[in-house]
Amino acid sequence: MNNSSTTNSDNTKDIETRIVVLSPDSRLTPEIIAKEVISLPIIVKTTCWGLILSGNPKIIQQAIQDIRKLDPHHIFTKIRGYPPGDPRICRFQRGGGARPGFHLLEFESTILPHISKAFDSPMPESVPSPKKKPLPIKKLKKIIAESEE
Amino acid sequence: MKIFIYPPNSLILSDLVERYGSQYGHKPLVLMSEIKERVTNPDIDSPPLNITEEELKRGLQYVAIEAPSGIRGRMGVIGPLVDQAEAAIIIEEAETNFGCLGCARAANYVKYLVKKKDIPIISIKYPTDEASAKLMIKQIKEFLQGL
Repeated sequence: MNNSSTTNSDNTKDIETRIVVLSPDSRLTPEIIAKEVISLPIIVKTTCWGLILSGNPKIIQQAIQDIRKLDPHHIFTKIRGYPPGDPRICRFQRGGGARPGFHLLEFESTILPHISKAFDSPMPESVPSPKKKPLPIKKLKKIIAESEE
Repeated sequence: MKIFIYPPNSLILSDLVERYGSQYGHKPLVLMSEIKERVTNPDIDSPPLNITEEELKRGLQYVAIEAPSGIRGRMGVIGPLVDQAEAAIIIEEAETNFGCLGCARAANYVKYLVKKKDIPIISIKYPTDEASAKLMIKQIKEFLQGL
């Protein structure tokens, strides 16, 4: 009994779940990127914004690399806490509402096109620093004198 | 190095740290990995999020008992991430930090704890156009290279 629970615990810790988000201006679709990894021994779920991948971390990393090759500047990934299809966050079972983390994902997806465009174009050589010269005292005195008159 | 990001579940920051930091051995500290530990553990005490009294007790290490339970619960989960942090990337004035989902007080407190830690920190804003996105990427890239 103890052995089986330890094995289950180890198995769940060995599984990594990641989300793959396509920038809204990408020429790819979730189905196209899913075809790249569908033959791998991992769970692949397509969503409206990209994919959910779940499985062995090494295979997931390989899958991410394969997917990124398609369009490196328009594909973004991050870890997800819940496994795919988890009934605890299923909107049908919870009676509607957004999933945990959806609001930030929705907000950041509106910024992804800017990030993708920035990747596409060369980076500026140096970061422009807003250096403002202090107002000379003579000029300040002149302004005060003018305002008093 | 372990890089704390704020918002701790940010897709953009997590992706940029992995994209530019992995070659230097940097790893983002994200909220999702903390959540994963709680929701995939076979010994779940308090489904669905498994936030138990242990988290609330841990939260007391960071905030007073008078603090609302929302802040204590959040600090119980985010606090250990701040403790592990060796550098931090913080997005200031994020709209999503404010309101019932974000908890502005917890956000302020997390930022205060990070700034108190005396670690390299970079504060940026969400880009609004291509030029500011370029600036943001360049700042993050140079920050990760310089660590």
